[in-house]
Amino acid sequence: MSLHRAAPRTQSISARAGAATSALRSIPRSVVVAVSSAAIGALLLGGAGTYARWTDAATGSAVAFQTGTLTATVSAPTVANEAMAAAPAGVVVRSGSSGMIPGIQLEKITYTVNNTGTARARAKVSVDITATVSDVPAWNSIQPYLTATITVGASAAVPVPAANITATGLTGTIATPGIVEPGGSTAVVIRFSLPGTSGSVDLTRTLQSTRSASVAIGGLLAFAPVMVLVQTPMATP
Amino acid sequence: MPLAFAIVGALLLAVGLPHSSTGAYWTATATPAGSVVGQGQWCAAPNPAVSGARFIRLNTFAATSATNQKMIIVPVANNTAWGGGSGASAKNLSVRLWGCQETPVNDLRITAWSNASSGALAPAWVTGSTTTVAPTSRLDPLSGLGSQLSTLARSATVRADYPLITPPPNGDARRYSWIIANDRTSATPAADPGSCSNLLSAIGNCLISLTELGLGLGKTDSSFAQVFNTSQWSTPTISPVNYPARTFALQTSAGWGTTGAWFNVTCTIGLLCTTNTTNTFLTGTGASDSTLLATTDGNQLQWVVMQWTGTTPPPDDLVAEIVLS
Repeated sequence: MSLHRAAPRTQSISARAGAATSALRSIPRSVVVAVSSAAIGALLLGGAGTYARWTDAATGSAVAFQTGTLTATVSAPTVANEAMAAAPAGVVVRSGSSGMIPGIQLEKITYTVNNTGTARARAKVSVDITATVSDVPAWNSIQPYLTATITVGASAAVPVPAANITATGLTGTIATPGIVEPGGSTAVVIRFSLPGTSGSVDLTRTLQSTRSASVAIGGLLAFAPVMVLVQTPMATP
Repeated sequence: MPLAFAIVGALLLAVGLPHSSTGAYWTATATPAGSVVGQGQWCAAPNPAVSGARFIRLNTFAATSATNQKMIIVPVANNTAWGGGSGASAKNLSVRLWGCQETPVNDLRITAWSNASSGALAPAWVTGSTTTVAPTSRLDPLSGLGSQLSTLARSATVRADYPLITPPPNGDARRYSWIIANDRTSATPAADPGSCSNLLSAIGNCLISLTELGLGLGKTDSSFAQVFNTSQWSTPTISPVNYPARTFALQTSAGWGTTGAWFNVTCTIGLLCTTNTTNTFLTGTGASDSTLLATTDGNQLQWVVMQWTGTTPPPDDLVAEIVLS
């Protein structure tokens, strides 16, 4: 009786298996094997459904869980001129003039950034270089030629990509390789400059109409940067 | 083979694991006070290498015409080289001074002269030739025609030797145009010599230089500080001073009178002389530059004589531009 009942069931199972086998035949074998392997892997990792486990114990390296804060402070900016090259023939710089002069003088803005957090975490410095245009006609003339770089401590200067110098001013966050140690400080120097020439264009002449009206820096951009400290991974003990 | 597939599968699964094992980093920001980014203040005089040969740095004057004096003589015509094309359109002659100095030293005189109506002297050239009237041409101030023009231009210091105001045909009044002479300054760049009042009583022998005529006797060269714009920082950009050439020459429909001039009187003590003046303009051009160089018509050719006097060369930013406009 039971055999009698069992026979049709066996046949039914065989039929379903035959159908499944037929379906699997239409799937590439490699896919089938990969999926199966993944499922097996999951089962092995999770261990669900097993009733016996291998167990073992070993002492690993100590893991330090760090608590505290990362805090940054920054000084007021110091604005200075920096010589690029001697004035070319026929060009005169007004005595005491501050600000960019194509090919002759650049504008240097220096900040001191302090890592004052309690977590004593090393941090990399990035700078959000937001600047808005104060003198649109002058900016329209100057923007294609403006160069800006960011130097943190003794690390190499990082140029601000041209894509971040737009018709509406400066924008974006510029990552630097500069590190500020826990409890330490570092100088962040941002230089703005114009080349003396661009191809055959003599910028000392063509940009002359944009010059400052006095020895004070001309109001081209309102620069409002934000200094960003990003924790770097701790060194292995 | 199945083992490899198992490994690949395990890796696929690992990719799908939550990223709980990655670290989260602290960040902190600080906002300093804002600052201004902008331009400085500079002054750039035209660069002759870029702007063209009609722009001439004063310190490139090569010829030493006298002690502490450098000079150039440039032929100017309304021809193609000077931008005049066919010359059909009359153009006024002038000189613009460009400079950035606040307290320049040295003295300057710029005059223009036409050829003599007779007895022309042969030109000798520093650069150029008798077939070229161009901004790059330079007549030798120490030889031939150049020597004569140099003497005329410098006559303020040798006035007793040259009776320049004697009447035609021997006088040179008709040849003369003042550009920076006769007391012109940056404040009065278009001023004329004024009346002949200086002839009324002060000149006992009628020997006086044309370039000395003015509101008083003994006019010397103009100082750089008088004739250059020394306030370049007060304007948005460099601003030159334009000095138009003016003359006593009698200009007729047929051209520049060769035997007459408004300043056409016999020097007689106490005589009021005519002082009609007019712009020095250049009209039709000649069939060739050779023709222009030989013409006695001041409307076709002018010799611009520039000279500075001083013990030190002028700086690079002091530039004279010869203009036809």
